[in-house]
Amino acid sequence: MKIACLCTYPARSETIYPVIDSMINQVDRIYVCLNEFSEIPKKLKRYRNVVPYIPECDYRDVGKFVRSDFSDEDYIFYIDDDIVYPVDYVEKMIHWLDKYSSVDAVVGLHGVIYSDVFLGSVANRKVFSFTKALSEAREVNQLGTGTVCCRGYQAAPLSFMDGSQKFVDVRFARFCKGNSWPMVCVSREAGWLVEMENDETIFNSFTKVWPSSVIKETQSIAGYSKLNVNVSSLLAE
Amino acid sequence: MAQELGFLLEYANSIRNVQMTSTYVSMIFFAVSRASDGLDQKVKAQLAQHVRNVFLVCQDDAILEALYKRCPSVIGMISLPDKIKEKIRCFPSGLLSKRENVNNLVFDKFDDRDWLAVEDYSSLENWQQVAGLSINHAALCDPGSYPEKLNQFLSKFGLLGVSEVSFSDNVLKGVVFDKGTVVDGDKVSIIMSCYNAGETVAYALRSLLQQTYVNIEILVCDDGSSDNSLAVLKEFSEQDSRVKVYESRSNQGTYNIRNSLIPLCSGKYITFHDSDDLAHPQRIEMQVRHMEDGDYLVSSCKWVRFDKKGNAVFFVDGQMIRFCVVSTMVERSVFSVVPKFRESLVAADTEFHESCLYLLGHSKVGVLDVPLIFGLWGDGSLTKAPGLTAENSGFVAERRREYSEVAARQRVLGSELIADSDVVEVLKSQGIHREFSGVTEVLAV
Repeated sequence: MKIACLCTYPARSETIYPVIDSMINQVDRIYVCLNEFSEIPKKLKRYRNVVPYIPECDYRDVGKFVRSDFSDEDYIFYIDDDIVYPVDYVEKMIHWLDKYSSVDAVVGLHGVIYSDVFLGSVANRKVFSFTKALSEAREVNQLGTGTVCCRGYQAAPLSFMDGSQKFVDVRFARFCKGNSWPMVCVSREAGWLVEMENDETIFNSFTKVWPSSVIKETQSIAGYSKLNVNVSSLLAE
Repeated sequence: MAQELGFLLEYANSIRNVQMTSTYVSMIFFAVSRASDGLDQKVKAQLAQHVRNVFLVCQDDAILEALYKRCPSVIGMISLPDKIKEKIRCFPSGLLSKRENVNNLVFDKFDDRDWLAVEDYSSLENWQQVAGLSINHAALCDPGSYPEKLNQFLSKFGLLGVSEVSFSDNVLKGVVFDKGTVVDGDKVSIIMSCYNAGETVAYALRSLLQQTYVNIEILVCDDGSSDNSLAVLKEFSEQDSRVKVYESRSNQGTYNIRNSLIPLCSGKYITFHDSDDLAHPQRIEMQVRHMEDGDYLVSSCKWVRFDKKGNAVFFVDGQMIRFCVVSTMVERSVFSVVPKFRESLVAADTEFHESCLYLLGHSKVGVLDVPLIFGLWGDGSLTKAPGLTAENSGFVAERRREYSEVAARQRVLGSELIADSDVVEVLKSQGIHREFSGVTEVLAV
């Protein structure tokens, strides 16, 4: 099965529909974690393959990891509630995932390589933004979980991800590193994905100033020295 | 990628300069994985140098093999001594640079009796190489001229010479220096640890007691030796009240001993000395003067390593005069700023010196460019211990590299991110952590 997971909150209760509409015909199911909602919106209930749920607490961006009842062979798409995905998104991501299956890679579109001596400044990172072109695939330290594709056995359990609110990408990267699954930022043209405008993002509110606990966690995945040279060679071929 | 690679190599250099050796090695492996023969010459040259560095420190073909696959044209830009080339298995060593390199030649031949006997090395541009090879020629071919050759070398630094050198099982035992003028000044405490050094500690201690600088105290601690080391120490303390003898409560390594003895020192300056090294008689005098003239809080000097036959040991860079971290002398107030020595079996003095640079600033940490210690290059030293070697070929054992890495990370990232417990965890995982046990004084009868 092809399963997408996203999370949202009341301020974006209208903007999620373009997102869902862009994915609904590409996947078999979409899990929608409704943080802080008091009830499930009627409009959401109309989608046959959408499974909305209100969690017992506000998981924020960890909400996309609440459901993990996948079989190993499923294709999982972690998506964001402010990105409109192209019609060929799932097909292409599956293509990349299968292409790099020999190294058990997790693939995505928004990649980050941190400085090997990362001290928490966002300036000390090399970012391959999902909105920009990338001519060749690159192994990275971290993938943005709004544009990740992985297999069911690579889906991170909530028990691991909980507590990483506002730095869920770091935590997921640590999960993959711990399992020796390289993270590959795949090639694409500019503008393949469209990001909707938003007033405040978790990035803006958190990522620019990093608590030391998060820096320490990031250290475990950070740097060119942490990249797998075999994967890098494979990608360079 | 070419631009990124150029930046990455420069960045890797800065990582290397802060002693994050493991990170540096991994970064160069990554750089090689992304290299191609299409790179411009400048980047290729940089890559060649870095690959050479990594190969020498690891002495593992893997980096060369990776480079050979990705960017074979760079192989021909790497120059290595023959002694090291002949160990390469992943491609014919003839593919490496054939350009003549004096430093490689000196590394290959410095203790080659047949070569020294016939070769005219006096024409070498580097006078230190000429001096060192002359000493070695004397050691191997003409022992009678050894003192003269050694004195020619020492005179270049304005140092007292030797009056006699007798060869036995260890040349350092037989070196007799000329007497110099007595110099007085603030007291200098010298800390020494001793472990199964019965064969060497006598000349090490004697070389300190015969310093021109007389206002010294020597705190020497036996670390649970099974030989006659303690008996030798006691004999010296009975003959000279400047020697105070201690025993470790249980074997704990040099650096725990230093931590025990530093609070017991009464000197304004504190320095260290190894139990198998010979101090030049002007060592303490010159280091104190260096500190006071330069307004330094820390002073170190250089040294030359000698093997037991009397050969000066050259390293892969073609140099024999090297920075001597064990010679570090500090003004005692430094210990209120710089953390104590790490509880490691090896290399904690290197970490201490790096910490001094980081915390006190380069203007307060001086290096006197004079070889004031003759260090024994022998099997009893920890730099030669299996699994812990640091060789003149540039090889550094992985356990040392891992310690260097985590200590450097702590310096750069801070102890909030890399706690002391994290460093200790690495020491333990590498089997080089030593438990502190303290010392007891051995009183003269």
